[in-house]
Amino acid sequence: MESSGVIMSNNKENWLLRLVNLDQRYYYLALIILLVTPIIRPIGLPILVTAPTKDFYQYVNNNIQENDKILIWGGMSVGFWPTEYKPGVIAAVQHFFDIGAKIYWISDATEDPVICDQYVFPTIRKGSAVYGVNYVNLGYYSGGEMAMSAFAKDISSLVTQDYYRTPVNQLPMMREVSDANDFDFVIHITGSPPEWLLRQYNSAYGKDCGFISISGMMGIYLPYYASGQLVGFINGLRGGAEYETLTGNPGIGLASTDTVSTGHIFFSFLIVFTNVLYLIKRRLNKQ
Amino acid sequence: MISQDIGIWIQVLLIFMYFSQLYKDNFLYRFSEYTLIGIAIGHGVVLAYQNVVSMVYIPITMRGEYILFIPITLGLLIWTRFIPKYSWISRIPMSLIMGLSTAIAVRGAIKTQIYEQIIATIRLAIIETSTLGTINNIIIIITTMCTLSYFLFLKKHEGALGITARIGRLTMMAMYGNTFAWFYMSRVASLLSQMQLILLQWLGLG
Repeated sequence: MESSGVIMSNNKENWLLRLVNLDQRYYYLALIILLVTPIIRPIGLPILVTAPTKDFYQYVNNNIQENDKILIWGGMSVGFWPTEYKPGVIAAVQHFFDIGAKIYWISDATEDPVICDQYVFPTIRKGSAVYGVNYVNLGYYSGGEMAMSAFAKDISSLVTQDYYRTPVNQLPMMREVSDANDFDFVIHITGSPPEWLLRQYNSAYGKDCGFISISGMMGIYLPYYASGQLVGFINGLRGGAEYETLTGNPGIGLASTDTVSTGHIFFSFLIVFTNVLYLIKRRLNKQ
Repeated sequence: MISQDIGIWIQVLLIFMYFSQLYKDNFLYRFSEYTLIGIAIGHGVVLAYQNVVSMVYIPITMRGEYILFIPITLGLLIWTRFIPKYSWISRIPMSLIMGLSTAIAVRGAIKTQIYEQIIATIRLAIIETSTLGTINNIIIIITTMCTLSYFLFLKKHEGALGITARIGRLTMMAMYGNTFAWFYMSRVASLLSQMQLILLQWLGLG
């Protein structure tokens, strides 16, 4: 009996050791299988709209009217565009176009004006909106917060031509703005902390600010949202899917939420599983 | 049906080359990584050049704004970093850039990051309409005070201060953990986009 107990204990230890030391590539493989399955066969998991997205939507719905001017500082990168930015950006910009607001798009990241030119404006249903009259892509300006500050103070000191090298004095909508005071709502699409925009537009000019960000920034944006400095923000793929739900325009965001939810469940399982393994291993070592 | 678009094929090929690193480090992975970095830098350089042309060259040659020679000179001085004998000169424009960016940031930093945050915390109502809201506000008030006490170095962290400082430390750890988790999910979303490209756009499944 004693020897069979020892054998069982050894088998248990071996099994646990194998699990603990399992090659991490198996976890990647499991993750890929779990992500791939819902893409091919969507499950239709429900999605709840979080407060930051709801407030962003309600602010736009209640406060932005036809011909209001929305300034968008774009800081998107290609890597995060397809899933993290695209759902939120497309849903929100479509919402602005549907209302009839004027969109001034300026970039503080090198890849952003290309994304705006190739993937944002061509994708949107623009109705009767005309380039230069209802929307404009002003291109990339280096300097980060200094460029934001210069633009807020005097647009003509920074911007002389748009992304397509058309002088701004030939664009009718550019004659309607001279500094930050002329805008009704300011948005930063970025994976960076929100301080640049808040310092230069909210604190300095009292402008209402919103953000479209990547998921990773959630914890950093929340204190500013809780304090009321942000009217709301759209947080990555999840936020984009929520905004699509609110606007009633299902798109890539809602189509992808199944996969992300599956990923969340898998990671939650891994956190519990690895911690349990660690505790069992520690107990066995003590014995 | 499999895609006929050459652009999609190149994207998928580069994705597979990049993912090959999951097996082990290899030439294909490094090639795809360097391609990405090279393209990003090349694109950045072109945009920076266009900025110099539109914001400096055209204003000087077309409109005679000769005052722009001052920032040009300062910009060129940064390149003295590559001449060891005169590298100290590069500190002058760098100091100006640092000074200017600090000045611009400080203007709004006190209001944005300190004043507004303190006011928002002070104004928190302990009793909310919902029970969860009340609990949330109490947690925010306690953890804010405890985190601030962690940075109080006038007294040794012992006794009551030791307890609050420890709670503050745990609060910060929870916050960092939360941020890390969100960043991780952000990367999963990026992986998802690659999967969608392979399965939906390239293979035409789904």
